[in-house]
Amino acid sequence: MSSSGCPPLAPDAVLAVSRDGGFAAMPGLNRERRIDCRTLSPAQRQRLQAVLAEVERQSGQECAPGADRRVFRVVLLSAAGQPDWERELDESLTPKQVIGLWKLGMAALES
Amino acid sequence: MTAFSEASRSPGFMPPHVLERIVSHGNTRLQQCARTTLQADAQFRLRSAVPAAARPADSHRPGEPARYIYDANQQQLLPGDLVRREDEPETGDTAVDEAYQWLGATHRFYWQVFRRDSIDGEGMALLGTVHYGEAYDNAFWNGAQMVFGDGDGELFERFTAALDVVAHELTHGVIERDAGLIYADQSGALNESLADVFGTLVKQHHFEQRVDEADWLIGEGLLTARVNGRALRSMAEPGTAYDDPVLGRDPQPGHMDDFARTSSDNGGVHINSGIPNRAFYLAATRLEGYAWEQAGVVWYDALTDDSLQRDTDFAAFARLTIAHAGERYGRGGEVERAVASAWRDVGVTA
Repeated sequence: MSSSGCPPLAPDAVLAVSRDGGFAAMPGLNRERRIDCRTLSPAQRQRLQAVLAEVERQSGQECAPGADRRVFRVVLLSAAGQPDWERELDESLTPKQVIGLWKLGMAALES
Repeated sequence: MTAFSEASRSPGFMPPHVLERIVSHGNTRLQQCARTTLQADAQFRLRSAVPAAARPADSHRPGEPARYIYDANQQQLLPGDLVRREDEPETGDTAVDEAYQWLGATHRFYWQVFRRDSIDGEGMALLGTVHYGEAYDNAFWNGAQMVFGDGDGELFERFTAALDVVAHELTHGVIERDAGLIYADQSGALNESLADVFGTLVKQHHFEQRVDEADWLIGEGLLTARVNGRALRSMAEPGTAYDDPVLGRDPQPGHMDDFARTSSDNGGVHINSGIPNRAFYLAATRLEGYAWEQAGVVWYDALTDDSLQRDTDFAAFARLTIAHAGERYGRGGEVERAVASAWRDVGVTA
C-alpha cells in the first residue's frame, strides 16, 4: 500500500469512504460508500482527484485531541480490490466534499 | 509515586515502549493519537493559552461550578455564542438548559462523593456547546470542552437528553487530566469504560438509585421510538442494548473470550469497553446499596492512582482496583472479594 502521496485515480479504481468512532459508535453508522470510477466521466474523475489531493494535504495534520471524536477513512482500491492508498482523517479536518461523498455519493461533487 | 511513573506522566514525555506497541499493533493515525494523548496535559494549557480577557473564569468558590453554555447555531465552530453562564436563569432552550443542569449534576457528584472540584480538581470552568452541526449524531470532549449535537431526529434525539451522556463527556476530561489513558486498544477501551462507569454513577447519584433500581444503560432516552433499542450500551448485559435494521446489532462483548480485534474505532474502544463495564456492574451489584459508595470509590481510587500507566491494559487496571479495594476496605474483605470475582467473571483475571 502506498504510504505517501495520492496516486493518480485510475479509470477502473474504486474509492471507499467510511466513518467510524464517536460516542454513538454503532455498526450501522459505519456503512461504507463506494464510488466506482468506471461509472465516472473524465471531468468527474478530475473533481474526485482534486478531493483526494485535499485529503492527502489534511492527513498530515495532528490527531484531534479528546475523546468520542469521529473519523473518516478514505481508501483507494485497485480494480482487483487491493487497497492502493488509505488515509484517516478526524472529522474536524475532513473536507466537506469527503463528507458529502460519504453521504450522497458523486452527487455531492455536482454543482 | 515511583521515579518511572513521575517520568511517564510528564507532559510530552513518551515512554518508548508505548509507541513501539502502538506502531506494531496500530496504524499511523493511532500513533498520532497516542502522541496526542500523551501530550494531553498540553491541552489543558489551552485554558491559559487563550487571552485571560477572552477566557471564561474558573470557579473561585470551592464546590461550586462555573458553567458556560454556548450555542453553535448548527455550525461546527467552537465554542459558539455564550448563551447561559453560572447563576443565570433558564433560557427556554431545552438543550441549553439540559447541558447546564447536567453539568451541574456531574460537578455535584464529583464534589460530594470524591471532594473533587471540577475536571482538574481546582474549579476548572465547565464549557459546553449545544446545537453543534446540523442533525449531528454525536457528543464529544475536545480536550478543552464538551460538545453536543442535536441528533437527526430520525435515529437520535439531542445528545443532552441523557444525564449520563453529559457526565460521560465531562468524565473524559477527568480521565485525561488524571490518567491520560491512550485512546486506543485496551487503554482506550478502559478510557471509554471509565467514562461510562462514572457517567452512570452520576445518573444513579442524581436520581438516588440503588444498584437494583438502576437501569445500567448508557444513553437511555437517546434513541428515537423508530429504533429497536433501549440505549447505546448496556453495562449489565453488553451486546443487548439494540438490534436494529439501520443501526445494526450492539457489538459489545461482556467477556474476554469475545474481545473484538479491529482496526476501526481506534481499536474498538467503544466495543471492548463492554468488558470492564460489566466487571464494574458485577462488583457494584454484589456489594449492593449505592454503587458510588464502594465500587465507585474503588474505581476512582484506581483512576487517580499515580501508578496507573497511560497504556494500561484491562488486567493491570483490574489488579489496581483489587489492591485499592483491599487497602480501603480491608484485605480479604467483602469489597476486595467482590471486585476480584467481577474481573474473574469477565475473563480479565484468572
